[in-house]
Amino acid sequence: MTRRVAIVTPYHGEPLAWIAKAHASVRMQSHPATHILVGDGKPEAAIDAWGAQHIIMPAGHRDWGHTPRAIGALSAAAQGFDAIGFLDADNWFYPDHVETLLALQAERDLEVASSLRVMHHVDGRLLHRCQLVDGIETFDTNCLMLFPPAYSALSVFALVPPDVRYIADRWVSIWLKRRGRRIGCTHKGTVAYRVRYKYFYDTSPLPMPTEHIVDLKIPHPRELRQWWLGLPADEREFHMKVMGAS
Amino acid sequence: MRIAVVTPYTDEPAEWLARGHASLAGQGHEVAHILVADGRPDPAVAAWADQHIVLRHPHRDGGNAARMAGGLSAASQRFDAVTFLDAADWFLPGHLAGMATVLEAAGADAATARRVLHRIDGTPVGVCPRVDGLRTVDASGILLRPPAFPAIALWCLAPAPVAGDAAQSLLGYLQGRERRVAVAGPAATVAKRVRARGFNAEFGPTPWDAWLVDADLPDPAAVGRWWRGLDADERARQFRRIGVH
Repeated sequence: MTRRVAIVTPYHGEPLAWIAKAHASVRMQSHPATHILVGDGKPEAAIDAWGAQHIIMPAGHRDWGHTPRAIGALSAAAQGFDAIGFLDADNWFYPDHVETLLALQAERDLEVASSLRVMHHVDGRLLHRCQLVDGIETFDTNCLMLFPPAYSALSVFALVPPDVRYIADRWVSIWLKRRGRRIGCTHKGTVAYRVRYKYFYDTSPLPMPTEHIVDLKIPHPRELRQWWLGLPADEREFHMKVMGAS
Repeated sequence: MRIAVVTPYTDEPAEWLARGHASLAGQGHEVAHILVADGRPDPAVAAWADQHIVLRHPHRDGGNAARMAGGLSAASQRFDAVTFLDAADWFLPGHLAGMATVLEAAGADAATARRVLHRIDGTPVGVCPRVDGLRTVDASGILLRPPAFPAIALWCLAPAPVAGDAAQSLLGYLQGRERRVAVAGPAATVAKRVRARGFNAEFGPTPWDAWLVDADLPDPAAVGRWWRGLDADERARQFRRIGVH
């Protein structure tokens, strides 16, 4: 039986052409997938005509799409989808993304499968393979596919401490590892990642794009650990409980 | 305490939704009412709701996905507590105050309340003997504080055979994860409008009979029996899926 796959895309003000490109890449997957788009405060009426599922939140959660991502994914879980993946509104998949993740899962009985990502310029042109995300130690949300034994991690996206919500995917990966979920990587770059971070262009010979740039520095894992250990013990315990990690 | 009240709806009469909404006034706390349309958004509801979420694709799961969407959104917005109110139900005076008081007094992570059963026309029948708030709970009778927020996912992760009464799995998750659950009382403060045809049959026709359903009022204890009937491997598999392990 064909496994039912859902891909969840939160959006909030990205150009409609980018969202359409992401949607087209889901529709063109070699293994069929249902696209669930979640409008986080800035709904696009045009999406209602795309043949996708559409969830509309009244106000943006201002958390880089993590709460709408969790809601879309748990909606998929409630609908009985066999696998759930993620795609940011500014990125897109290569055609075999879903197929290769499913094949790896079947081969190794995984609970979480990950791909690698390929960096693209804001204007869409190909740059190079990402040097940071290895799919084992470091994930990108767009590269992940979760299977039912890992669905209990989905709410973590929305429950991460507010100060570090922007890197909720790191917390999800920590949660999955702490709870002993079986994780594997295809080692194939099947996610096209449109780089919008200013610091990326600051340190590259590429000219700085004039639009759609985000001035946000993603901390090194060591910095995140230092922040965490700097919290009082009772506050750490509180956050662990809120995330369902203790 | 800043409390979010989440109400899923599909095609319930506007009068029912309005009664539930009106029951939130004077509860003694700052309340935001989050209405979640499961497939059939009503512009009139969107106009008076504090927040209005739309699931364009109907889930047909008794409001579970809608409860999750509203609840997780509220958790992310850092409400102090999240509770749920079915579209046919309403809170009796003092309900939220009683829940908040027992939470504080017990230092609990969640509170539950018992329910008064009502006919479909809103006439009270009596306190429900099946829901005690301790072993069994009503979807409209549970309030969660942040350490209990992970349980919100259970609206969507409850195993399919018992998803029709997901509140019981939610309560079981809280207990399995060693969250403290306090029971408010002694009064029952959730007004439950029962739509089961069999329950209403002896009372005669009402103007609301088009909203009667053929399903019986669920027996909350049946969920516990289902869990206890699983063999050890299957129970462990389900625990892993819902996040108890």
